[in-house]
Amino acid sequence: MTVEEFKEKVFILKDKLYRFSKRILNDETEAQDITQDVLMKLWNMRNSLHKYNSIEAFAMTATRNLSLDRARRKNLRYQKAPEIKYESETVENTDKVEQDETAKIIRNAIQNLKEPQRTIMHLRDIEQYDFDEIEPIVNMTTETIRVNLSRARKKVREEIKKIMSYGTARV
Amino acid sequence: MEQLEYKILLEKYFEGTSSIDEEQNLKSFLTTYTGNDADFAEAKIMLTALNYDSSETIEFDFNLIAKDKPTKIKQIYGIISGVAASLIIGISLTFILKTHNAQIIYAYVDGQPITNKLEAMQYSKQALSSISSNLNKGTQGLNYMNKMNRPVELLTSKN
Repeated sequence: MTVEEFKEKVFILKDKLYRFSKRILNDETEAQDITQDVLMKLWNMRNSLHKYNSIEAFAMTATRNLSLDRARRKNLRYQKAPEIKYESETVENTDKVEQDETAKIIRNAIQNLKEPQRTIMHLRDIEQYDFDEIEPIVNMTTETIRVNLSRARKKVREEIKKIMSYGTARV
Repeated sequence: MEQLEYKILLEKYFEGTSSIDEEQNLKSFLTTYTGNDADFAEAKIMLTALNYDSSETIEFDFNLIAKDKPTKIKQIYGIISGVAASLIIGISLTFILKTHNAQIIYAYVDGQPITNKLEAMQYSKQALSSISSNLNKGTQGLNYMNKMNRPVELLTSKN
């Protein structure tokens, strides 16, 4: 695989890998490290990547495994995740503030989901993966994925319902 | 599509049975939805936030990755380094031992170094015997003096 091919087929996945790792680790810096590690691994094995049916699935699986491993080592996985520290952005209008606040609430709700619900919901609702694309990453059948996805979505909806019924944003 | 159909679609979404296309359709509907239906309002918040999250990106320099040498080359470097280090140690040890052995000089005979241990011993024996033969000269005369001392020994032993 040439450098250009690598850029087109693999390097382009960097944002997805980063978002996925960040979802699991709940830490920007750690997620950046993992993304770099995965991309380096893929770069080192660029000449044998053609063996894999889907490079994206392979990259996402590697990201998941490395992130979960890092989370386990840091004992983050089963702790109640602290709020994600996102870079402060310039607030231009109130809509943006509301959008940010809502995004934070939803993010925390997803973050508080257990594995593999968190991973499945991320892959489906954020990365728009099909069930057959999720299968190899989480190593589950489509039916199990559907059940987990349904539970995850309903849990997040419950959180939104709570917020709406209280009329206050619990950030 | 009617709102009722979107309700069914929303239900399918929460049951995890909707397809990607159906979900996209639902998102499009909810993006423009301005009504008061609680289910749609909740779903709108949720899907808008998820959409917002999906736009997050990372700044990353490609050269950071490309600089990393392939694992195979790293392994070859490791093997070569190991072999080179072993060779250096082996050659050094051989050289030290050889030079160490060559420097053992047991004796000098007529200005010539003797490195053979047995040969050196033979020369040593010869030298010692020549010294002792010279020292033994004239000792025979001392036997007479021993005879003179005998009566004294007899007298002292009786006491």
